[in-house]
Amino acid sequence: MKATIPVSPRDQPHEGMETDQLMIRRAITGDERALRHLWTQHAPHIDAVVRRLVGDPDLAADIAQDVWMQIFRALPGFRGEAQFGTWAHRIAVNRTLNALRKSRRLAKIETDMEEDTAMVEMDDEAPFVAESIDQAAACLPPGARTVFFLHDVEGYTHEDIAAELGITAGASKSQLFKARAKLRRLLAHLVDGPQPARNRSHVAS
Amino acid sequence: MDHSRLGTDHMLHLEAERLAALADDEITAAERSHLAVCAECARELSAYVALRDRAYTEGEAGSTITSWTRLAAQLSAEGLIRRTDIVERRERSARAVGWMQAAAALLFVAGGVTMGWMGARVSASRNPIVAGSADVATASQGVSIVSVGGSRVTDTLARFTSLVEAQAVLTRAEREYRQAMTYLASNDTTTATFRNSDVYRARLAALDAMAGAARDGVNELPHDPIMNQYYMSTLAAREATLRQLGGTLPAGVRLTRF
Repeated sequence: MKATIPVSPRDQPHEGMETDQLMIRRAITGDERALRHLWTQHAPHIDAVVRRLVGDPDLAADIAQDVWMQIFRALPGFRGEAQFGTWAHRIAVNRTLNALRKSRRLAKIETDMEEDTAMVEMDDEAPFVAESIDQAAACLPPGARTVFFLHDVEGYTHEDIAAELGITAGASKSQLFKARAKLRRLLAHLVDGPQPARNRSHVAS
Repeated sequence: MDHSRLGTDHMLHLEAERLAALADDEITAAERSHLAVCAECARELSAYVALRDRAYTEGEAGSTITSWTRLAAQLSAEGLIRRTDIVERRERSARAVGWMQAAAALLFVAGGVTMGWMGARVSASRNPIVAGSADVATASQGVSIVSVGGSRVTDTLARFTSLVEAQAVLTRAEREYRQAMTYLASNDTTTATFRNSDVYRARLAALDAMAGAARDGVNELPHDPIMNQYYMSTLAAREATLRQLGGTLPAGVRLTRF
């Protein structure tokens, strides 16, 4: 497993760190309550990472299960140099990308995005914005979705993404900007100001 | 992409993907000049910045897609979990139920043997080989009829007036039961079936399993007299079966029920 993706900016120190350390020590001995505590505390983030990178709900559930098993299997090797959340996050990303490679879902990472494929019904009344972003991102090709989530949601740099995905930083940027352009249209109800967007012409930048 | 010109200003706008890039890229001088005079491009850029910010700030929200039940099962299968919570208590309870079922079966067998032995003891005057020194029926007695060797004989059923009295009788009966089992194992020549060593081996295997369950019960409740009695009874039956398996069974003894 490659360890090229650095610490996510999301993984900042938190109040539960000492609890995590205690729980990790107990979890390594097989204490069920400690294992469950770690899962309860970190599953919302870890599962979200997997779900967003994978897209397909059924495949995401299987990969997330595998990710958690790998996290627990690797617990004895956790030395505490990083926070548990950071460490688990790295496993989640690497394991998920490996799984996606195996399923060839990243095979088209370098291909251009298809225009307006699989438009989704957007619900303006959706109470959770993140759900709408997830819905919109489901319309993106796998490679573009992966780049979008790694960069805009997880906070990785293009260089990190390029190293992990085996593409150039330029390709990562290209995929990201195309993904944003499409998401901006799909999520107009979320990001538009008071005036609606109009048809536009363009200048060279 | 729509390359149509806007109505009155005849201004070319920034590409959508460039505006998307400008959410975090540096703006060139030309782009800055354009954005300064083009409200629409400025609004588009604001939308991309808002999209980027929302993606990051809302990124943490999400429900779990894993199930602890499924994870715990796999962890258990791989030996990575030590069940310490209510699940373990439930499993222990389930094991106790299984143990109690085994114990109940043993009680049924032991009760049959004890009653048979007691019946034989009543007829000791007619069958001197079944000799017992204890008089179990010292409490006030009821009367019942049992069959010994095909004949009807009178048996005694004990009734008790206190817990202490009942406990004393139970302890004595237990001790005598074990003694009787050992004796019968050495002297019983009942049927040809029991001469078949396979029967004794099968019984021995069953008793071993029961002794294991009874031992678990004793370990869990080491001071419980019932648990200890079951355990000792099982060991006595096992010892008796071992003797029978040895094949030294003199003639002259009939066991009424077993």
